[in-house]
Amino acid sequence: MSWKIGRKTDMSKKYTSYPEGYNRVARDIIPWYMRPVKDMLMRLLITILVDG
Amino acid sequence: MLDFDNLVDVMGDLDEDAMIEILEGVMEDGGSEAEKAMEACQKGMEKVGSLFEEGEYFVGDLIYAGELMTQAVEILTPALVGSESAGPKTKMILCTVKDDLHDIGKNIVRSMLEAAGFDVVDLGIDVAPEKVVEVAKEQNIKIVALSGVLTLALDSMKETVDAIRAAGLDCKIIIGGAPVSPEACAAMGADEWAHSPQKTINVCKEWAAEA
Amino acid sequence: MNAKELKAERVRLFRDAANFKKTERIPHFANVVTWKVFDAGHTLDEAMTNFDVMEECVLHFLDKYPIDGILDVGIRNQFNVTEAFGEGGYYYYDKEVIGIHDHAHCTPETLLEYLDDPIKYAWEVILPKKYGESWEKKDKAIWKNTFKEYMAYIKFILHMAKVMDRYGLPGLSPNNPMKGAVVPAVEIMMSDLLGLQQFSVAMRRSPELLDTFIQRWEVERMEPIYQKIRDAKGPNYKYCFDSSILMLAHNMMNKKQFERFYWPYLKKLLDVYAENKMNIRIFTEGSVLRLAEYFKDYPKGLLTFHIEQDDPFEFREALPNVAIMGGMTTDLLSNGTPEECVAYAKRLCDELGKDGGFIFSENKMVSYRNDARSENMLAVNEFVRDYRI
Repeated sequence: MSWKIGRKTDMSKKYTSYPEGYNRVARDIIPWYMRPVKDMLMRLLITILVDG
Repeated sequence: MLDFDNLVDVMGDLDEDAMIEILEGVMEDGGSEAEKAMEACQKGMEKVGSLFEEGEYFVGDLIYAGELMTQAVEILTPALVGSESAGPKTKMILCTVKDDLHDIGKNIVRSMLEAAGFDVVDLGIDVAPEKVVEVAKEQNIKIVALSGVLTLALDSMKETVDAIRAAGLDCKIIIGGAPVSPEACAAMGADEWAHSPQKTINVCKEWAAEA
Repeated sequence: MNAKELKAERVRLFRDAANFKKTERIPHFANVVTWKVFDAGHTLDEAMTNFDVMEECVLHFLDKYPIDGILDVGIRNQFNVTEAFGEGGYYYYDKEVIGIHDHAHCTPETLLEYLDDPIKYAWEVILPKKYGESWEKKDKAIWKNTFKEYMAYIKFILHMAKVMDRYGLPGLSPNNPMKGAVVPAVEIMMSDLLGLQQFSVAMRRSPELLDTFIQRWEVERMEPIYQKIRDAKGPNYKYCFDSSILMLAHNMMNKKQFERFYWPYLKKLLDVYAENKMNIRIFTEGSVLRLAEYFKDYPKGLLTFHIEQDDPFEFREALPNVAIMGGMTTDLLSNGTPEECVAYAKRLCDELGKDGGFIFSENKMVSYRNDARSENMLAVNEFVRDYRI
């Protein structure tokens, strides 16, 4: 029991509204050519910031 | 007249509301029977331990029982302070060893040891071998329980056992937690090992009786 | 055999073993995590923050030890990302030790709020708590640097997937939730949302709340996954297993609690896989043997349990329909001689694998320096590769 495997926070649910500040941060950090996958990138980043 | 058998049952059944009601009843006259109530709670905890051994209760129940016991002590404390009739208790050390920060298992064991009448010196988590030796020497303690969850804890347990032996202390040592095994126990020269808190309590009781 | 063929061959070996078909040799899945860092002569702090060092350690392991699959190729070190962002990481490490600070994201009062919108909850509750109230207003440069580290991390994951291909190593199971990566409700509640303590107390104090969470989880998260599994119409031969889940929460539960909070939902999941002739690996932390009765009626081929504390021989007797992964104890790998380790490995292969149904692996995630001796690991791995029953 020494390593946290397979217990990552589940962020897979689709959501329709964005929390305040989310879009500003996304705009600041995600280059234009990655915008089509903005939500996927943000979701994984949030997961890492939450769990890591 | 308060029904302490009922309190034993209520504690054993982990019925929080009923327990609080009875204990508040005990405290209505300032707690003249608080000691009897405490004894009943401890007997209730023994029942919890037996139900755990029988497979009826599991780890989550022990955590919950620990919560209830803490509450019981909080309610009864004002009346228990200053009471000396409990007699001398066997003092022992309990800790999670160096490099390991897990404390839930340790805390379960602590509440059950306390309920069984031990005076537990809980050194906390991530405890260096020198600290265990120092406290055991200072307080002339003969029983040491070492807890850990990581496989890494086995190294620290071994270091702690070695340090206790090297200091020439006459201590019985029990190791407990997920990574321990009879093989690990033999390899590091500890006296006993346990996966379940109930075994830890039984072993420590035997050692206390021998002493 | 080229790497692609080797990978397909290994998938077949794992799947045949899981399906109780006698295989020409016992496949070996290395349950090895950070131990490979020490074995390559590095310390954890070096490898955790430097992808080049981590890759070197992984390659050192793959070149030295003959294995058919591996749990981790060093892609769990996200430290650079959180460290670029600032204080607040749950993980801690130094030269020898890696660990996680205990944390719970919710209280029973906020549990359903999380479920309503996890991203919103993370943004408004978890991240401010972890990184400080003004977390989101952090300097633009810090955000950009965090994003740069995050991209480097993703690049490393993709790079290591190619390394796995080059070595002909198959993935354990799909990691996309819509293809079979599932987290049972009780597991996420216990491990991330409430923590062991609050979860144990909540099972007693607020069982209805847990019921509500679980039922919503089923409808909102699991149903779409079940549908995808049904639509897939059969196994995914890119992977050794169609799904891999972790069971930890059962270690807290008495039987009544298991029957109320866990089993009906786990059964539903297993039934969906069974209906579709797919297989599932369950990594069981602690012991699962006391719950054997629940699993005894499933057909051979559905279930593989990676066991930790249970004795593998007792396990086989109790559940002859369930394939076993594991068996090799880190106790022996760290304290025994190569001869003792090989003798035990032989007994495992002979007794558990003679008619299929056994995948050789370590019982615990091999993480720390003293979890295994190098010479033991080598002797055992070479034995398993060469042994024919």
